[in-house]
Amino acid sequence: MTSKKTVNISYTGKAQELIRSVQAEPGQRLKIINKKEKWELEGYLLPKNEFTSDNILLVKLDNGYNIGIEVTSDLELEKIEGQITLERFPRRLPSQKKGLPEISLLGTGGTIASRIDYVTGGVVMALDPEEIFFALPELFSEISFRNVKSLFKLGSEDIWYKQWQLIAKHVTEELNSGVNGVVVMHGTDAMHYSSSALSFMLGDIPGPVAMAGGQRSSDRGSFDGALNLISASRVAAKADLAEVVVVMHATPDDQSCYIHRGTKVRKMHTSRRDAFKSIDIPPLGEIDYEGNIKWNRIERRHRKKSVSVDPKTDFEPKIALVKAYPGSDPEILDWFIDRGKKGVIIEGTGLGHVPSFPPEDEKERSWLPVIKRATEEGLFIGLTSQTLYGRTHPYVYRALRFARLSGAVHLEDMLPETAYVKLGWVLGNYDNEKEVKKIMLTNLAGEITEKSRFDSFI
Amino acid sequence: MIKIKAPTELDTEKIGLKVGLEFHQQIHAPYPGTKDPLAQKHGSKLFCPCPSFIREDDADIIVYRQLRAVSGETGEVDIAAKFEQMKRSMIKYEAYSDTTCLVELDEEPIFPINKDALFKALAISKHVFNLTLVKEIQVLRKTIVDGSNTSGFQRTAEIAYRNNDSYIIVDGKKIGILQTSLEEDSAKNMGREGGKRVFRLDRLGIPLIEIATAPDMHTPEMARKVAERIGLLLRLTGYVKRGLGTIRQDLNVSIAKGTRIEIKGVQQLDLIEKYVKNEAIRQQRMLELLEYVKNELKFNENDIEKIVPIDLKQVFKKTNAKLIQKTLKAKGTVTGALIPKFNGLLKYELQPNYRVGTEFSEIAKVVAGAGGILHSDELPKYGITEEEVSKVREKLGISKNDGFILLVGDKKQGTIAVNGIKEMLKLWLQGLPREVRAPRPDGTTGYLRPLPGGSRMYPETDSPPILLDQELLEKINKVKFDTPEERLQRYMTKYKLSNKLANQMLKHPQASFFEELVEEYNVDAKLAATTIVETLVSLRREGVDVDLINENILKTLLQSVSKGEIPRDAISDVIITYSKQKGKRTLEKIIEELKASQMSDEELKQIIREIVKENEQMIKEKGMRSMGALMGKIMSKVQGKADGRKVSSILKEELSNAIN
Repeated sequence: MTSKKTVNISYTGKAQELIRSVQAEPGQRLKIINKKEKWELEGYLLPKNEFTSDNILLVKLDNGYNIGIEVTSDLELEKIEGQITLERFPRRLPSQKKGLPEISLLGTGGTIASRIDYVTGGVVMALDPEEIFFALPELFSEISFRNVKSLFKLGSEDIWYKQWQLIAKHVTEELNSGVNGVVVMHGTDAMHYSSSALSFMLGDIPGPVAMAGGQRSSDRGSFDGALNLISASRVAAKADLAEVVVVMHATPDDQSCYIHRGTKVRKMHTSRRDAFKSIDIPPLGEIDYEGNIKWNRIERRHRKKSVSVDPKTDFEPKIALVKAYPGSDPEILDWFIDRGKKGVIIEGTGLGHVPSFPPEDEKERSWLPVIKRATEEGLFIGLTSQTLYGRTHPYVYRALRFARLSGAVHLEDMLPETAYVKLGWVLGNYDNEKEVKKIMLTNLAGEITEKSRFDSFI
Repeated sequence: MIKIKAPTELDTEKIGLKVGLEFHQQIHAPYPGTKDPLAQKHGSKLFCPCPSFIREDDADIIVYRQLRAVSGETGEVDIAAKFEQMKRSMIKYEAYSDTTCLVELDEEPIFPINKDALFKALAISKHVFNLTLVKEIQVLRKTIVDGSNTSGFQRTAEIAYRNNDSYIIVDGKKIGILQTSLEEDSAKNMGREGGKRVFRLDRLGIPLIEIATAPDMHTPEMARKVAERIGLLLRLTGYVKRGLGTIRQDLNVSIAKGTRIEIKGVQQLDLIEKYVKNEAIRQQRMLELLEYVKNELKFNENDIEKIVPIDLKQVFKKTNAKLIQKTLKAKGTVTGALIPKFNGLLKYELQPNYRVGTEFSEIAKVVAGAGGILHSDELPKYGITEEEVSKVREKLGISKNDGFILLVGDKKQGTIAVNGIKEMLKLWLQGLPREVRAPRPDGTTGYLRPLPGGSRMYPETDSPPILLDQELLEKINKVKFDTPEERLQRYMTKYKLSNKLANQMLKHPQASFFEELVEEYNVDAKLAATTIVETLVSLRREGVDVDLINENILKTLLQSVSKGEIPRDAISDVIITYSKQKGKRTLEKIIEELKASQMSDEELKQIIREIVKENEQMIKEKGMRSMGALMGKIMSKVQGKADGRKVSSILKEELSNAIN
């Protein structure tokens, strides 16, 4: 378990002098007097926070309020009896009860593991999984936790392939030790990158790997991560499923969560509870707050106890994801080639366009020459669409055909982020150029659908 | 034996009554830069630009949520929060696409604090209450998981605190002001639907200034007067919203031997006296009761353990009691529990007409959402027979000193309710519990929840601390509010109101509406004042439902009179007509019809001339002094079809013609 780091921001200047003069530490009860302004207060000295201005003393009053008091030459402090300790959080150790379905839980950071930090005054990732359990007593009557591990505490945007490899290693250990499933608590912003990565790295698995996060921090009564975590745990423990999935609120209601396929899901809103949407397919299923699962009519991999996980976690980090848009400078691709990248996923417009035939006097805006250069130098160039929904196509328009002729590969209905992650994984595990192209176009984990469904648009 | 009836009067001095107020007033403050006309008119919320606009129409957004108890800054789950967790159920929120946003729905972090609201609250704190302004303001989250806030907390900031000069004077007495805070209003409680609590988000987030007084009031009357004074002082600033629901008070009441009890959300100032008095009586009565049951009856922990919910469906299988029949049919049941040694005490009055049984009912309501309880001291009744009562006694194993309670309804609810009452009795054994009580319309209060401890506040991390800079301080310093005396002078000199009328108007909650009518809608000042402080009051006394007459209606009506479209004397009739038809006919229509029925000047002149002619003799004798008598005759003839002032001026002309 990682240890908690506390950053100590000290009071400075006049505030520091005043506090030192009475030998007070944060938490100490003080009488604060300003004779000129004819007032006095009692309260506890709080640690300074990042946003607090200089010459301000932060005090917690007996009515519970925090206020900032200006340090002037008229201010007097007096140390008085009493102290509070901050930063105490109740922990609840996971129970192991015989007869209950068994799962393991891995913590990686994110809002779901966040709480208030009194030093910075901001939300930080500091909670160990045990501390979150405190808010979820109902879990223990139906599920037994074999292992609860905190692998690291990172925001999801700071998680990359080395962390994916670490998560995959631990998931493998847990699944191979015989638990019914594994829950991965994860930050939400880039959770869909990690869910894709785990989908490819883990390959065949015996039971579900359910990822969950929170859009509201765990300090509040409206903590949405509670339902997500409970639902993910139930999916891991009981669902007839053997895939990497993301389990998050189905709607703004605390009534059910969707079970999204890890390669077909995307965070589509900055802040709403139901930010995660399955793209181009319906969610695999929906689990309500009592744990009932309703499966959708879509193929899924079923639980299979006999499967032993044999992960392929190699990953080629020299890859990139770029967006092509009106006025975008194709030289970015030259830069990537020169930087030694092995492959680039382009998020094109519509069916997978890049600017191709600008007016004669603005020729330098066309991406075709540089795509050609890239593929000739051995890079894999994949085309996806910034519409997110729908399938790319290499033939409909002339520009598409030319992009293809330049060597770019239209990646069917793969999401840009999924394609980016898959490319790193494919390049990490296969050398042959032809094979890379073939596997990029082969459906491995539900990332490419055979046909486009009518019922799955917004 | 102990006296069953509660006294209706009390000696406040003898029992050491202390009252403090927390006065909550909504602030009118459009979010800086907002282009939304509704926000400009009604003001904005504290942490988003949405209009502070209360709606009557149905909501178009419905969201279901569950709240959980969470630990506070010091790592302890607050007792009040735990209590709410016990009642855990789905909460239904209603919202509007056009006047609420993701902030109220707890789906988005807050916007920066509404600077206009902050400025106004600070100006009030400094100039009205002489408080010291907080140099760096910290917005905090106050944990509230009763459902009235979608987030599970209320955002609040202390903005000013007391110094030696922070007081107001009421009846020559100094009443200390402790602090002001700026906070967001809670969502509106819309009652229950099935087991779900329902709240509406139009009110959530409206800026409120909370003014806390010292417990310097020692009589119920003084508590009312202080509340009225604070209300008046706030109205004089012109910074506050007006109308029903824009003001709410929490009353902190204690007696020397009792404890601090908070009565939450009193909206009507005229009931404050009653609430304070009844709460003092209740504390007194509770102390007497507890002493009696503990010392005389030796009621103890062991007795409490005997309180267990028992299903009594069998007993009532063939009952004639309608309520029970209905409940059993709907798969409900009757849950019973024995209350050891409480025979005869369930009808013991804690407040006038409010019994121990009533208190248990209130506990059952808030803990389990149960409909209420029946108890042994009131049965047989409600169609429940003597025979059924004795079967209940038998089934519960009751001896003659014991009482019992019955809960008719859902079985789970019944169990939760019985356990809630059991927990409460445990608290009673330890002495008078500190609790929050809800005002009831009859002036008594009912149990609401335990009084929250101090551990429920922690920083709102989505809002950085706010440092009062020089620019803001200077802006605040420049503000000057009228004193009541200054405003009274203005009413008398500028608006030409009599001293009495000016005084009445000044103290009236609709004083600022009165000013708006005069200044912005050119309504005659005297007409507006008389209508508000006299006409409406006397109509209400006569039993007319004047609650239907809202500000818009009054504005239209008074404008119409001021323009001379309808006669001044028709106001009462219009209001009566409108109220009787409960808005079925719009006011505009009533006014239209009245206008159509008005005599033309020619018709009026004709009638006046006729009457002048008929009374030639009298006019000859009395000259202009016959005016009064003639007016009476003419007015009875035109019967509201002409304005008195018009009649008078035509008559004057005709009279002088006739005399000359």
